Amino acid sequence: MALAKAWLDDCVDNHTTCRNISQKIPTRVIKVGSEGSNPVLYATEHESSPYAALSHCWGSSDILRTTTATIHERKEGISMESLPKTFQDAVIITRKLGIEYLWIDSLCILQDSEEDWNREAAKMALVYSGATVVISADAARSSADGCFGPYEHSLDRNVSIAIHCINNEGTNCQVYARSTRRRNDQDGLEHDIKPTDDPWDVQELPIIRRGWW
Amino acid sequence: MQPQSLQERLLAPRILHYCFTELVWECWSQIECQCLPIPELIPLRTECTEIFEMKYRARLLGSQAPSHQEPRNLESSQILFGEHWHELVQEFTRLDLSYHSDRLAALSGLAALYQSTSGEYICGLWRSDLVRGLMWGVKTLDPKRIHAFSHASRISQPQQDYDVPSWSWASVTGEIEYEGRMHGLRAFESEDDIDIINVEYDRPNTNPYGPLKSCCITARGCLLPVRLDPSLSLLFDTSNFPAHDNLQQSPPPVGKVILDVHSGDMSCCDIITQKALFCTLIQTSRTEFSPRGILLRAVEDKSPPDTFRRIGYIRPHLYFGILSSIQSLIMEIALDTSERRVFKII
Repeated sequence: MALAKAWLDDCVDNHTTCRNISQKIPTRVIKVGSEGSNPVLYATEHESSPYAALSHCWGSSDILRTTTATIHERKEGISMESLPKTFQDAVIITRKLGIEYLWIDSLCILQDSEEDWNREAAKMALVYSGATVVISADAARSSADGCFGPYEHSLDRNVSIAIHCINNEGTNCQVYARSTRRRNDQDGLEHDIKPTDDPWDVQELPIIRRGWW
Repeated sequence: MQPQSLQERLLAPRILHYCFTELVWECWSQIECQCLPIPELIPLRTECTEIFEMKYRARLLGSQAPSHQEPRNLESSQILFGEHWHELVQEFTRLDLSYHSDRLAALSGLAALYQSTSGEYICGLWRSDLVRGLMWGVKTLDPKRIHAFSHASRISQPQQDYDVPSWSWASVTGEIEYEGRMHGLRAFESEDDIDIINVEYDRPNTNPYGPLKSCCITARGCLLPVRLDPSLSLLFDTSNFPAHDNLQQSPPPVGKVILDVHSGDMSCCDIITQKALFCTLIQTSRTEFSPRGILLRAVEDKSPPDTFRRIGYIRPHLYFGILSSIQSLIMEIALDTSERRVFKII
């Protein structure tokens, strides 16, 4: 997360080309609050304020929505537990990035009001272009999957190991190795290649070169 | 990748991608990713490679947006816009891995953005670009790639319970392709073979950029009765269709068909024996006679007479240049003898 915050800060402070076309906040946003508190649906007064927007795949699971019947309840507060995993993660990410508001389509557009849908869907393009950052849950197939992939809980992805080797010419060299995870064709998980004690394997077996790098 | 992501990618200045294996930062200035601390190892393919490639494509698309064009005249700016939109649609369907999703809803933000400059939007196509808008075909997968994209959604299937006319690319799932500059078919150098007389639909009471009920094109053009060979890819003029399906002694086909829906989902026998199949031409290149058309199937239910549904896209059968010109000649003769009539496509 610290890395993401550093990327964002660097971009906001130093990149002259990365400017929001408008920063007008959408009609409704989620006020994420601080850790431990419940997020609330907030009807804005068209102020200018930084906000994050979630880009996600609805998937087939029944998504949490805001309707004319539930809007008042949502404004009172939305318990973290009631949020699907992807939304929970997005709230956590928004907080850690130091941003106060988060826009999620299914919660910020009334899903049963034709009038609201017409008005807000047409503004969707502005929502994304005005967001300080778009949080894109690329790996999640539905709102139940969450943003954080399994890698968050596995080996630290930034750790690479230098393996000292001698190449074919007899000179010393180093091969860097790191755990990778990738999706295989059947959508399952495939944990690539375990580390080997023998550096010669790294050079000799092409499959290891593929899995470890 | 998300179906919506093309839309956001073109619009959002900063995106934080939570990928399956890594975290990737994308802004208009740069891309950073978690896997980069060992720069000499970049060439290895990871999830961020795809984002790098996409960024490049998105930039290309962005640079062609209509606002950046100097309008030379109305017609050429409309054509340029059309090509730009077709590229967007292609890219969008390439990324869209979802199976049952509402394709039009995912693109509605971009459509709304373009609407002010581009006029009437009808189920993924623009009224001002409707003839060329019909020239999409399902992307046929290279058998070698089928394994890599074993995802069921890569294969084109009909969208269920969805009010999208058969002539819109949004009526099918999977990746679609527009014939454009890549195929040497410059819109400027082509002639329309079909006139769109009218487009009707029920006024939407929800999202105007979504599906539209009772959407129907009324067109004037030639309808050539055709039959499909058992391989479901070659089209023959009915009068020339080989007896006893003896294809070896058959005349050259009039064209190659790409069925809109994966043939495994159709009752093949039904299509082969189906007599009410027609070919109508959409556009012909002025420089070489290489017509493009669509394959239509007569609707026999309660619809008005002369109502058809689109079932495929027709391209010249470019086997060898010679065959292509023979078949073009056949098509030309066949079409010259068939009269232009008014019909509806739903």
